[in-house]
Amino acid sequence: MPSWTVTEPQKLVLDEPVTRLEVVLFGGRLNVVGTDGPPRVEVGTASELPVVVTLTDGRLEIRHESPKTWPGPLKPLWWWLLGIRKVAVQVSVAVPYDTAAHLTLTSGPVVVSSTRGELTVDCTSGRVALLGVAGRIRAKVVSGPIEALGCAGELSLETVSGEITIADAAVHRLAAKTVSGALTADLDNPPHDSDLRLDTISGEITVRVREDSDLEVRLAAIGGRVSCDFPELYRSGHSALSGRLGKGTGRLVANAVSGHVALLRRPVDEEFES
Amino acid sequence: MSAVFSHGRLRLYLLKLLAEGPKHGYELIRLLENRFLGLYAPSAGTIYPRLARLEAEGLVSHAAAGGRKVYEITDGGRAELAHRAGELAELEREIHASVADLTSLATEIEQQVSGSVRDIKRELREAARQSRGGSRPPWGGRARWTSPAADELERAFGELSAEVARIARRPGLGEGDLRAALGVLHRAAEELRRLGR
Repeated sequence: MPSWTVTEPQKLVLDEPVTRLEVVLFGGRLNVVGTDGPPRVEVGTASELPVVVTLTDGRLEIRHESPKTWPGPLKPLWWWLLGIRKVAVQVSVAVPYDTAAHLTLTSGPVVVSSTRGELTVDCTSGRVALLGVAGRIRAKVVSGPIEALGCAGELSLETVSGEITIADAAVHRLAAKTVSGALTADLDNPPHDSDLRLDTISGEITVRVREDSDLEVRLAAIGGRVSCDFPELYRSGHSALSGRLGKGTGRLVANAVSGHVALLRRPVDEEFES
Repeated sequence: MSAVFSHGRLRLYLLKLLAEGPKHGYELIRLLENRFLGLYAPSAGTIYPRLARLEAEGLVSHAAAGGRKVYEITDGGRAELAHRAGELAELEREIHASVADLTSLATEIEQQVSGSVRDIKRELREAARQSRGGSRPPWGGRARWTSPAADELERAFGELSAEVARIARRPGLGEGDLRAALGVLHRAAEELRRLGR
């Protein structure tokens, strides 16, 4: 079981396969990219708390060395002292495309690109950026935005005080939730069998789907206005719109409490289809 | 990142990818994207004209499969590839170097994501603002009644206006057809007027 304790900037190249990545770090920044080369781990600026990298049966684990805290009632004081010391660490990892990754970073940005396995990201305060990620993706941030570009598969995104922006996505399942941030989604789905749900309390929802979509649509805003570019939809109540686009094999549900909801139409790129 | 592909090198790399097996255009785009860890995703408008040129020069050929064009390298293409093997090796080395430093790579990824996302956000917000200004419910306000029949009525109206829009946009419909459609609408309006009295 290869294991490294990293206390200063270091680059590791692993010669064993990696199928699963688990990272738990307190603060700093975390980058994960899918590659077809050998798995690599780069620790940039290191923290006072060493970082331990272990590889067991294809499972690559990166976490802080488990600290010896003070016992009993002094424990919170220890954590407070740790907090004012420098624990930020910058970690970049390259893994094979289909690695399943579970990432937890308490504070700081997380960047993930080109992985195709299952992905979960948990971040308390920070920005999450996903580029070209496919598969089952779940990202949760308490305070900070989530940005997803060119993602595919199943996407489940949640933030409390940040914005969620999804661009150029071909997701067949989408569940996006914010409390106070705006929710913007530009979808280029295959126009059938999609299941799309967008919810916000005080944010604004803007979603664009292909004009040849097959969707059963329900849009509602309690205090805001609902608008759409599809004449097929009808007004089903005070600031609510519903109806069917095309054959209606998929589902699009968007709910806002005090923000507006807008459904826009995306022209189909003919050249891409040829 | 795309600077790696100056002076016809993208063309060379496309040939190399096709030498690994027949592929359609979309697959080529995805493959390029993967090689560059998502940082370089050429658009269809970049790829298809180059494929068309390669085809005109006899280096690739295409077959239609399932509604999509599948491109395949020809013997001429393989010869070209063998002839430029040195250039290709140099290109591969550069591509490898461009993705070697993970940390700066991640910074570039983050910048690209936030840049593109910002553009999309601006575009969609603007479109939403226009849509809010322009799209009012058919009768200019919210429905006065709520009942299943009223919902039905609103749905029927939506479908009718969609149908009218479709007819109006369809090419090849003659003056006579449009007049006939207009007649249908006039008759329906007349009936409705009678109901409303």
